[in-house]
Amino acid sequence: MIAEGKRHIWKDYQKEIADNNYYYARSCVRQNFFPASEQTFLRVMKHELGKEVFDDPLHTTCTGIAYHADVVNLPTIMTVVARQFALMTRQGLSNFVPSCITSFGIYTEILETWEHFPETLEQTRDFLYKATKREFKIPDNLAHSSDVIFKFKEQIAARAMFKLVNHISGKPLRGVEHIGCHYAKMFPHKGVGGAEYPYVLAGMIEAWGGEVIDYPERRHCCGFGFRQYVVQANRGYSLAHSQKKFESMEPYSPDFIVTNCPGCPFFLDRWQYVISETEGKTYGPDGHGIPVLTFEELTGLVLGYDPWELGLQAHQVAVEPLLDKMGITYDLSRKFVGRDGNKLGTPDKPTHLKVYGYGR
Amino acid sequence: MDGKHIVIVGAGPAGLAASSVLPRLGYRVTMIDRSNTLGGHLSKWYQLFPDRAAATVLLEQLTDEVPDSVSTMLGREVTGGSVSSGAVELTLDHGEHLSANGLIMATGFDLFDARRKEEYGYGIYDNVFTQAEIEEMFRQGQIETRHHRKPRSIAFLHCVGSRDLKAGVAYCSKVCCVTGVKQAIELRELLPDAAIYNFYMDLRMFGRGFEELYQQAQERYNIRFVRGRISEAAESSDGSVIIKAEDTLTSRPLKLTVDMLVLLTGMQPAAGSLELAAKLGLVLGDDSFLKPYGLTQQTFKTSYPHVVLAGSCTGPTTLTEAILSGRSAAMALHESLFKLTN
Ligand SMILES: Cc1cc2nc3c(=O)[nH]c(=O)nc-3n(C[C@H](O)[C@H](O)[C@H](O)COP(=O)(O)OP(=O)(O)OC[C@H]3O[C@@H](n4cnc5c(N)ncnc54)[C@H](O)[C@@H]3O)c2cc1C
Ligand code: SF4
Repeated sequence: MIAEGKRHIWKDYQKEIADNNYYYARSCVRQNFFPASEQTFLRVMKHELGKEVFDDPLHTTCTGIAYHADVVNLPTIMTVVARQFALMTRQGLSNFVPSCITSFGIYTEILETWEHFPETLEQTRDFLYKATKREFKIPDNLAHSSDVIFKFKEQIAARAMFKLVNHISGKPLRGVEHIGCHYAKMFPHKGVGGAEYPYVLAGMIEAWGGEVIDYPERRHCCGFGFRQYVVQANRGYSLAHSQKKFESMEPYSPDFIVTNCPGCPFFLDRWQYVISETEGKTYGPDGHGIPVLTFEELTGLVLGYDPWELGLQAHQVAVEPLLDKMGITYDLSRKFVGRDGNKLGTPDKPTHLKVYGYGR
Repeated sequence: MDGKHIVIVGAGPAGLAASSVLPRLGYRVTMIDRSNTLGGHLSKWYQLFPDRAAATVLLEQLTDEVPDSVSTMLGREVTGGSVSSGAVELTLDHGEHLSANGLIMATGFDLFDARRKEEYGYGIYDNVFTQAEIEEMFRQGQIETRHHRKPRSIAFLHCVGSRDLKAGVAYCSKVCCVTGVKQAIELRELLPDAAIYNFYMDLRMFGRGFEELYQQAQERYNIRFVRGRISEAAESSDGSVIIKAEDTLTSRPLKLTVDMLVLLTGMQPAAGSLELAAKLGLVLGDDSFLKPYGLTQQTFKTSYPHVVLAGSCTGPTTLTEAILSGRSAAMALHESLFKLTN
């Protein structure tokens, strides 16, 4: 692999990312999958970097998953998106930051459509006004929340408590970066680093001391792929896609996988459990899986946040081996204790996959 | 003709052919090339299609035909200039100026930059090559992977940067199909046991002897032709290249690991010729190659009677065509200048 070749391509895919004053649009599913990630983004932005981020309880789903599953049509989703923009406009903000990659793809696609087919923009303004009496401005800047963290990766590195380095051997930890398909595959110039060799997560890994693994099925979908999972009869495809990726990355012995899309960490995490139960196969050493993190969780670990506050107990694949390598200490007896001090209950132990702090 | 001065920009096959004609008609000729050697792209090739003639022999023949009176300036680039009625003023890279009564543009082509088809990983994956690099390996007599191993499997991919609207190129580059077939045969001779594949959309074997070469490749040389474009390439841990494609004849997706992937990159207008054309007020076609007066007749003429076009600066050509057009352009210029003065 010729690293210089990638750098050459990255030069062509630099994008503008606003510096401050963001309107944050949360994901409809992420808080169920990995509950603390969005909260961690806000914590990093506000408390570490001193930025203004408006977290609006009034916005809704972008309806992207329903759009891609043919349940919601284009004029409808455009109107929903226009409403989010109206809420941003109402706050006097113009930098729109979605937490979800599907949403980011939707916003990008709709902004492009409005630019090339201005009549659809006029129609959307009309629909929104008729439905809600709201008006909106088009954002000056659209960036995914991983773009924003990418922008400040050096500042985060300067404040890091832990590095992506094995604290005993001093060797860089090896990370697989998995980018949500809708980040740049549709509009390569809207993603940091483009579609073929995205740099958004690779840049974070590098800046925080780790090493990026490039493996043959790197570009392959995580397995969510909407119809593969949402249509129940297709779920075998979803599993097969994830398995293809695990088999391909396994020989490179990754220490972790980092992702920037709601579905990817969920499927890459949960399907490792399913494969271990059905085939007895695990992809990490000694019965462990490969820990899968959201980019906010990885950021939080680097900044020294408590793993259980980051919600890492909600992962199926144990993250403890990664914490041990980074030299992060943690209290297993608090793993399944909620923020209010009440016990969350402990899950059952899987048959093969090695886990920590579990019940029976 | 009365010692009138003609400048030929480009000393590739087309420029060389033109320069062999004009001094005999009484012109003073200056031929300029930014490269330090004569012959343009021909100087980089090993054996020529369809008959596997040695490129060095043809180059020698072409240069031998250039009369000693031609003043040749190598390692010098024509960077600008202007055309007025009856005269051409040219600027060279060191700021030098040249005046002439006539100009032949023989600025040729550049190979498509394979890095632009990012999905194939050229310049990133160790064992992705272009056909031009394979020619160089043939010249050196050594075919090996980047890790100095003898390849056991090689895949050629046709139409890289040609017939690809996503890459902004609609046209066919014409010579890459037969080059791919020729190189596959040459590889087979060096590597009797290797698996050799050509991935193509359709094979454009238009020239004399081309179709026969393709037949031989299948029947005698056991080259496997797969109709389908490769969708992506990736590198495996041992440095081999994993390719994904669809075999459109069997309607099946296909995944294959090869030791080398060779990209048959297309021809595009030479960067230098684009800038120069803009400065001289020459017209470009939609494909960005220099646009002659007609596509059937008067294929050398421009809107200036004393400026003509030769060779692949007007679009993909074979050597046969480049050489013929060099000579014809020289004659067309002669006719034009003759008419102007008489
Ligand atoms: C891989 C490959 C293999 C091929 N093999 C064959 C084959 O076997 N048989 C065959 O018939 N054809 C073959 N061809 C086609 C053949 O190479 C071309 O037909 C031929 O080179 C065209 O000649 P040309 O003089 O028009 O252009 P070129 O060969 O490109 O020469 C143009 C010259 O102009 C010079 N130049 C450009 N701009 C300036 C400037 N501003 N100032 C000064 N100098 C300048 C360049 O340096 C160059 O030397 C092959 C092509 C490829 C890509
Ligand atoms: S000659 Fe063949 S490989 Fe080249 S562009 Fe045309 S069809 Fe494609």
